[in-house]
Amino acid sequence: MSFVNPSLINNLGHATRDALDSQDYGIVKVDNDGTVLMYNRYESEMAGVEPSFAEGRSFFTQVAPCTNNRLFFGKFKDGVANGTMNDSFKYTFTYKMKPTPVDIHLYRDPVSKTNWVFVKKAA
Amino acid sequence: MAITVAALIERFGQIASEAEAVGPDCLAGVVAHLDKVMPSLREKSVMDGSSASLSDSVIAIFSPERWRTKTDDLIAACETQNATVIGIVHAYAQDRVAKLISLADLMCTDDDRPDLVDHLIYWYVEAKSEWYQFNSRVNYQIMKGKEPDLSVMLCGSIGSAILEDLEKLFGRQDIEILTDYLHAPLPNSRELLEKRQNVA
Repeated sequence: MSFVNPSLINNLGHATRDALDSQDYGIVKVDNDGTVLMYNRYESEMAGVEPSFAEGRSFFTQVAPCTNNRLFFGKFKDGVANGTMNDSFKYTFTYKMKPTPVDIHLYRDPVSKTNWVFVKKAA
Repeated sequence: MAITVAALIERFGQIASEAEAVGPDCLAGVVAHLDKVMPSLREKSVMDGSSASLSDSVIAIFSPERWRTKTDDLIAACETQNATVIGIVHAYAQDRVAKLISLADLMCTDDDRPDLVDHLIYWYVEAKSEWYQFNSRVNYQIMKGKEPDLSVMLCGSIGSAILEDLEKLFGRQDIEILTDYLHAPLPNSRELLEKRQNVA
C-alpha cells in the first residue's frame, strides 16, 4: 500500500469527501456490487468523468469498463466474497485516454466493511 | 436484417467456440437480445434538432483527415518513434473510420436512415467488443510479466476515441443500454431468453 496515506487507511470508515479530494491519487468507494458511492477529484480528473455521473453507477461495468475482467473486477468480486481484500497490482487504462499505466490497490476496510479502489498514475 | 442476423450468429459462433460450450440456445439469445434492443434504439437514436442528416454527420465526424490528425496527436502524446507501431495504429484508425464512412455514404437518404442507425449500432457493438479485447490483451500481458504491446494499447486508445465520437450521435440512455449488454453479453442474453421462454 505504498501510495495510500496511512492516516487515511486507518480512518476510512469516517473519510469525508474533502479528505478524499485532498489526496493526490484516485479514490473510489464502492459497495459490494461495485456501485460507486464516492468518487474523488483526482480520479475524476484522470478519467474525465464527473463524480455526479460516476456515483450511483457500476464502477467496473459502466464508469471504468477497462476494469471489467477477471484481473480487476474478478479480484474485487473474490475479495467481497471472501470478506477480505488487500491487492496491489499494475494496470493500464486505454478507455478514452492515451495508454495510462497505473498502480492499483483494492482494499476492503475490515473495521467499516467498506470497499475501496485506489488508483495512482505509475511513475 | 435477415442477412445481418445470420452474420451476427456466425460472428458470435466464432467467439462462442472458444469459450465454454454454450449451445445454440445462447447464440439465439444473443440475437434475440439485439433484436429486442434494436427497435427501441432505432426510435431514440436520432440527432434531435440537427439540420444535417445523420449520414452527413457521420461523414464529417469520421473524416480520414480528422482521424489522421487525432492519431498523430495520440502517438505524439505517447512519445513513440517506432515506425511499425505508428503504421499499425494509423492503419487501424483509418480502417475503422473508413467502414463508418462507407455505411453513411451508402445509406444516405431519409428512407435509408433506419438501416444506417441499425448498422451504426452493429459497428458500435463490434468496435466496443474489440476494444474489450485490446484492453484485456494488454493487461494480461502486464499481469503475466510480459512487455505490453504498444500498438495494441494505442489501437485501444484511438479505437475508444472513435467510439466516444460515435456515442455523441446516440442518446446517453442508448449507450447505457449497449454498455449494460456488452459487459456480459452471454449471461445477459441467457437471462433474456429464459424470460422469453418463461413467458411463452
